[in-house]
Amino acid sequence: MENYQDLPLDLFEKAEVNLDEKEHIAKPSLTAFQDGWIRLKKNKAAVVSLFILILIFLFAVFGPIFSSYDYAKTDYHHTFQLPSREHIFGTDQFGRDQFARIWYGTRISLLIAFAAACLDIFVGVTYGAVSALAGGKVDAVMQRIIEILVGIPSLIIIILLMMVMPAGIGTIIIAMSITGWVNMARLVRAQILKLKSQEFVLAARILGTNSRKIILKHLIPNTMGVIVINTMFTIPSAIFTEAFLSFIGIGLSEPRASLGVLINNGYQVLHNFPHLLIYPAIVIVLIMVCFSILGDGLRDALDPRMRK
Amino acid sequence: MKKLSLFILIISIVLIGLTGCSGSKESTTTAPATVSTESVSEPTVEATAETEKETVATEENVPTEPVTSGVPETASGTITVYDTNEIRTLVQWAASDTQSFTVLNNVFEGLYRLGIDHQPEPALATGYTVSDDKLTYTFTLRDGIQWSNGTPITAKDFVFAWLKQMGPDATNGYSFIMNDYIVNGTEYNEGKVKAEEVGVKAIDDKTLEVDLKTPTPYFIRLTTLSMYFPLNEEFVTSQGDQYGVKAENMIYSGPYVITSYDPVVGTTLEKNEKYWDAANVAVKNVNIKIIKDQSAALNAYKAGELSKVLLSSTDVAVYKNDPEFHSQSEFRTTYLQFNTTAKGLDNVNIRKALGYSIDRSILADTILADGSAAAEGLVSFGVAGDGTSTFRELNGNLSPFDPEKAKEYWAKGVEELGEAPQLTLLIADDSVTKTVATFVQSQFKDNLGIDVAIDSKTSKARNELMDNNNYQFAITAWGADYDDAMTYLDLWTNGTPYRGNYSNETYNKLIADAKKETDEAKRLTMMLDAEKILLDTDAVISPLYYRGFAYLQKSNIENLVTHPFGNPIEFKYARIK
Amino acid sequence: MGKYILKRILYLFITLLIIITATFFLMKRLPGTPFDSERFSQMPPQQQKQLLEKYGLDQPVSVQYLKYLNNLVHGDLGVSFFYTGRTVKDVIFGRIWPSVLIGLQAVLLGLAVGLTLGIIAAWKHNSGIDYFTMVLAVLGVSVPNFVVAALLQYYVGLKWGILPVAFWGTWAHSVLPSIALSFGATAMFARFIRTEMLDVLEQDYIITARAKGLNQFQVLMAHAVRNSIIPVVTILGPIVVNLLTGSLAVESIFSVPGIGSLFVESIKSNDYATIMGLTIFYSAFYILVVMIVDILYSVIDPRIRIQGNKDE
Repeated sequence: MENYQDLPLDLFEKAEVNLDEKEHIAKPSLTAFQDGWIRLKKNKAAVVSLFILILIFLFAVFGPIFSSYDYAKTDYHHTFQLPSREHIFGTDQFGRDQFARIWYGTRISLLIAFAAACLDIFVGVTYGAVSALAGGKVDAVMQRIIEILVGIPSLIIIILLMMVMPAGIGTIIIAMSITGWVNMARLVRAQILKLKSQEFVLAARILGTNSRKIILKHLIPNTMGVIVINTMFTIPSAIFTEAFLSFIGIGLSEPRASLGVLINNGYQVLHNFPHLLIYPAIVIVLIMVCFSILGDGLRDALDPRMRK
Repeated sequence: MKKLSLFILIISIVLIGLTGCSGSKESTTTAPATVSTESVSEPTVEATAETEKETVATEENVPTEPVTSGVPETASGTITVYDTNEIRTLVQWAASDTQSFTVLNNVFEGLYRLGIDHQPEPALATGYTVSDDKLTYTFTLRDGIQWSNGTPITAKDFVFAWLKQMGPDATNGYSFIMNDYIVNGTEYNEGKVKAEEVGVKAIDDKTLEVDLKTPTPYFIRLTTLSMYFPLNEEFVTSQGDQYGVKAENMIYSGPYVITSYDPVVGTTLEKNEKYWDAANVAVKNVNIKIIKDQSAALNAYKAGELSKVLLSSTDVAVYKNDPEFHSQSEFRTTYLQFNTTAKGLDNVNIRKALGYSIDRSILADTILADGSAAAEGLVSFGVAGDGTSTFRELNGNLSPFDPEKAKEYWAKGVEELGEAPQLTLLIADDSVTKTVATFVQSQFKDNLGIDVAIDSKTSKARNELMDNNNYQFAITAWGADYDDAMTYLDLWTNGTPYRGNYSNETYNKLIADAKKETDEAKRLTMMLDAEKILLDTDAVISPLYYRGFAYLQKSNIENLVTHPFGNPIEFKYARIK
Repeated sequence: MGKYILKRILYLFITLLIIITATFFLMKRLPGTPFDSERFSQMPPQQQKQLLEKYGLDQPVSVQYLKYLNNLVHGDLGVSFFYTGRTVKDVIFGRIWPSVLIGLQAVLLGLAVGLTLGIIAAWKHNSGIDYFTMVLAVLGVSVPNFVVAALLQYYVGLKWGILPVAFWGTWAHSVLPSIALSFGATAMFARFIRTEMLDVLEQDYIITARAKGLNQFQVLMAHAVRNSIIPVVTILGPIVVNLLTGSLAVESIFSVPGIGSLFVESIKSNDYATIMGLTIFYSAFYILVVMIVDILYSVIDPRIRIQGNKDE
């Protein structure tokens, strides 16, 4: 076909350029969060964990409704009952229904743990990030401040705190937060120090990305793994620190309970009434297992490098 | 992996270096711990099986198979008991805790010692005479008594020790137990008089004369306490600061001598061959260990490492029918202290209502269930009365449970106050007190329909709040120092905030008169009346329970006596079958 | 490097001074006195004053503070109130050794087991051993160590009779407490190293290394492990300090005469000199460990250079 110019023009049709169509995005636009959510949904284990957590959460909120007993109601004719139809989880030393107490305790423990974890993340991440990014003298001073905070025995501060504040949830959360965030700060700092010198940050910098954007878009998302995992450790340790505090007197006042308190009490009678330790322990382990599987799932889902 | 192990190695070297300087003399065995970083647990199990045998071999009392079950015989004369707290000190003018008292009582001796039936028996003294006004006691010391280093024990040793306890050196807070009785004791403590003017004198080596301020029928009982034990001036002074710090820095006058002492690990005792009554001391060795955890102690007992173990309330239910099971109660009362000047509790009807609303038998039998008994008054069961009946039997139940009366008094009180008071119960943070508080709280709720808050603090903080008059009512306890009701009743005469700001002229007069009274029957009546005023009329306190303890004891041990007050355990009379 | 270490040591002393000062003044605000509270409140005021004077507690806190500093400079930590007649040095050093032995064994055990499990778990991602490690890691942090200790004591000590039930003496006595203590640390190490490894294994340089034809084991050791170890180093510091300074629960269950309970005890009994002695010991130890960890960073990760050098 050499003489293509001889072809009749009517064989051709003028292509119409639809500018709108050209810009059309076939996939729906997703925010990072939506994107993460979609990927999280593909992770079966994480979804199951999330479901169990929601269930536990619902029990913690509405559990007392399923039980005809009040968590504080004593019955001295039915102390140390084994699990039965009357009392699904048995009763404690004071004849109080363990089922009601466990869900009440779960509620308190979750509340304390979440509050502590939030403070941890907020203070710890900010502190660690600033320390690592500022570097030099600022970093050195901030690290020394951490050392001072860790060096002063927190029990002294807690006992003093307890002199001025009434025993209660607020006091516990404050007491735990005094030094609780230090570990998070140290981890975040280490992670950012590591990332700071990596090629992709360098590349971003060369391309003229400003510092704020580097922190928000590159450093923080890449630190997510460490943050999520440490939070998963913060929650159980918050629950147990609370138990320790109530052991030395700053904790919840009776008849209130938390999972930590229930486990502590259950341990005292472990030899003879193991069910008083086992049930709260199962709840705590369940919470932990689900949190860590969910945590792993979240980390994978939110990690920018995992995007396909 | 090379880098990894290198790194681990660096860390361990650094750490060993760091701690090496602090490792002190106990060189024992670090080696196996640091040899391998890779190996898990299997090799260590083998290694330890051998060392285990060594341990067993060195400790005579432990059966060769520590495996469990079966009653191992506690052979060759060793008794092993434990304390739940450190033995803080063996310096008698600094000791104020049961653990220290236990050791001191078995390695020292006073003029008298409590017998198997808890009554004082002549010990370093053979007897005493008392003047007609019952104010001057003259003790005669036994012949041939000597310290464990061979030095004779003389009346001077008593004078030295007592002056030490009465003077400013004493840090145990027990000076009152002499100064309240002995002439010029308080003045000596304040530096107003010289040592020669104090009412305790060595007439000669064998004779000790004591002048008392007031007739004190229980003075002989006081001489069994550790503060009244003699000390050899020459030896104590020669040791200086080091006196009592280690076994070799002490000499002993009691049935046993200390062979090793570590406040945290415990003490080991061996029969004192120089003791005057050594012929009647049957058990050769005694170990006192420290175990803080209840179930750990039970495990150790079952493994044959202890001769006796205390039981928790839930264990009691399990072992109640075991032949090794025993229980005993103490002269120690736990009670509610009302602050008579606090808002709400300044009303006597409110106080009475709270007292009537508690069913103490549930507390003792169901909640504590460890041998504790429901309280019927301030003075606990068993405390001496008129010789035939105990004090408690004579005064009856002054703190009964009566929910109807409780409601009546509450209504009356609320009417007088104009509104129902908001109440907070202040407690110390130990687990038993918390349990008791939880129970009391639930009784208030059930029987009076009120919500009482519980405020738990460290015991120091609780005491400070009470001293500063910053509380409504609190749970406190008092253990008898000696077998007489005065040890309790005396406490409410000073009107301090700690004792609820209680001041009642009639009460104070009864106590003051009883202290002067030489007629024992009249004295007793005064004390009986005083208790009634304190509990019934004024309801300043509300007794809850008398502490008791349930325990298992190896069946081959006999006469391991535990006194309900003062110095608890007595090894002198123990026998092993 | 030398200059940097010198500088850090100088910082160490400044930090310590601040900690000592803050703790001293805070501690003096604790309620009560070092004396037996019940007996003390029962004493006549004149006697109370006498006792306070004897120990210099009647003076203003600032004077007491200066005196304490002066004694400290001369190496005198003072005398314990709680353990009458014993110097704080004796009290603390007498109890450090058991805690350190148990703590060290627990750390080493935790590192050995935790790192091994974590590395294998990451290498064999989503395999049986991976799930096993995850379960162990979760149990390790969610089961309190006193429950582990109690179970070990009951089964290993009493039922099977393999190891001593409690008390302190031979090395065998230290085994169960060490295992009980290592549980939590093992879990933490395993988790951290696993997470990091998973991260690292996806990095380009690992792919490059594989592409170069290095064998799997070399890739794992030379590249993956070395680059994964940094966060472990970060948590290692606090864990080492925590374990070596003793655990209240484990020590009380196995009757180990360690330092764990001393802190709580001394604070609860207002044993001022012991509180200060322990604080100094503990914080100096902590700062040292942190310092060592910081220095180790640069050894392990060539990309991190100690900043002090550049800035000065």
